[in-house]
Amino acid sequence: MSLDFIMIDNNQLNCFIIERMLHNIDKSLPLKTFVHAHEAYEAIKNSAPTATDSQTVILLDIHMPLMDGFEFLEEFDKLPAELRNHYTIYILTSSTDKKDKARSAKSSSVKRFISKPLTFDILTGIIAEMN
Amino acid sequence: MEEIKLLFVDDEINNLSGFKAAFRFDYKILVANSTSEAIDQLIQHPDINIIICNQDMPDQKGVDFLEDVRYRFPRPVRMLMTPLNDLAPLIDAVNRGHVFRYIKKPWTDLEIKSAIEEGHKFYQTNTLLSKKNEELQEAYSLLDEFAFNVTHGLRDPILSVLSMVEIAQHMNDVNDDVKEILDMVGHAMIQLDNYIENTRDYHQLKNGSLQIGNVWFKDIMSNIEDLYRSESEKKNIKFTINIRQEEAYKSNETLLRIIISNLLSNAFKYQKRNANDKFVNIDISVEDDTASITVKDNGIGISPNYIKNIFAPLYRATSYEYGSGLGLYNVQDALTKLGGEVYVDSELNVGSTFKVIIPGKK
Repeated sequence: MSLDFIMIDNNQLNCFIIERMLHNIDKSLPLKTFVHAHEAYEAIKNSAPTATDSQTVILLDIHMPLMDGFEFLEEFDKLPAELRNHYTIYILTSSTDKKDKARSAKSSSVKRFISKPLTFDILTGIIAEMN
Repeated sequence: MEEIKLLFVDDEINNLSGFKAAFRFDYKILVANSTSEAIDQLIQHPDINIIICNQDMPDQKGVDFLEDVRYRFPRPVRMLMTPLNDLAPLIDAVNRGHVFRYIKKPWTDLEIKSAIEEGHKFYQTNTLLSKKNEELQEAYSLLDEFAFNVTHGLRDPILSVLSMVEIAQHMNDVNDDVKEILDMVGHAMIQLDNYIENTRDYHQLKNGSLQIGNVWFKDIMSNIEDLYRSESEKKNIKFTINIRQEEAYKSNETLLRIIISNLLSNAFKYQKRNANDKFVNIDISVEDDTASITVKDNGIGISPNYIKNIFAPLYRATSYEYGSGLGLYNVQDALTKLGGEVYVDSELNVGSTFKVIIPGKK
């Protein structure tokens, strides 16, 4: 199985963080970062997964200007199931608000809600979960 | 002064025109010769501030009309006009609180004028009050939004720094001195983050509404445990949790969380640096609709001189660790809201025990 990552976070610093962390864990894991959720959505919508067993982990922030995490989920859930099946979404946010947690749990595409800060343990946990 | 708009209700046309003629220069006067016509006027003129109604009306008694009006049009001040020999309905109306003033029949200009002036003052105060209340509500919700944005804006970069500290610590060519400094940077960031969370709790306690639901302490603790498990490993503190709850317990989960988190946070924070048998113990039991929570540690303890002040806002009994001075104040505040009490038993250099008793909400 092939695994790759998408990070959606309006803070460029957080995109840098995941780049460095992933690189440290496994240099071969591909990563795309997006500071605008709608650009990520377009890229996913137009993607054509080649291998049937390819999986992409999406790390999604919630509070972002323009399209926020919830709006992204809403649009993502409308995509065809054959496409969605190739993606697993983890919410990665600085919010500890229970309402945010409950709201993101409504989308069946969301696997888990992770509170920042992102650590090596969290990332290796996700990779282990995906394998 | 704002113009007084008055509705005069009487079934006799002569009375209506007499009234209008007498006061047409002083007030804006609308008249109705039946209660249904009066309702129409009230719908068309929402700015009417005073209603004067005759008691003896053919379709509906003045008292009953004013009582109905009170619910549909709560703003205008209501006055009843009745002859002296028919005071029984008036006493009833005054006692039930839906008539501001009584005007005896036949009336004199002076009496009417003084009644109207007073009624109008009352109207203005009430209107101002409800307007101020609306403004206050609006301000509160703006403040909520502001607090949320500030919290998020402050925490996001702090959490980024924490991640970057971790990345740097994993680099191979970082020497031990730098690693120690990175540790300190991370520690300071965690403190700052706690401070922000405490401030947000404080805001929530001051403005939040109290939602009551079934609470299971196992659920609350599973979340909190994760947080302190890693701290207990890192700082080599033995952490034990004991929960006995067989019955449902009604309370507010957020407040309980604030109480438990703050007591645990203190127990972990105020440990002796060089001790090797450090422990934190939390014991929760629910019995007879009452929850008891005991948090015990063998940390630095609190000097007896300071103990009475520890629940005061911004009070800090030690400079040993960094704190916001809001933690125990928030605990106390949450307990007041839940009708609970806290008991402290502490000895300097031996440790502290905080026991909290909270009755279940109905």
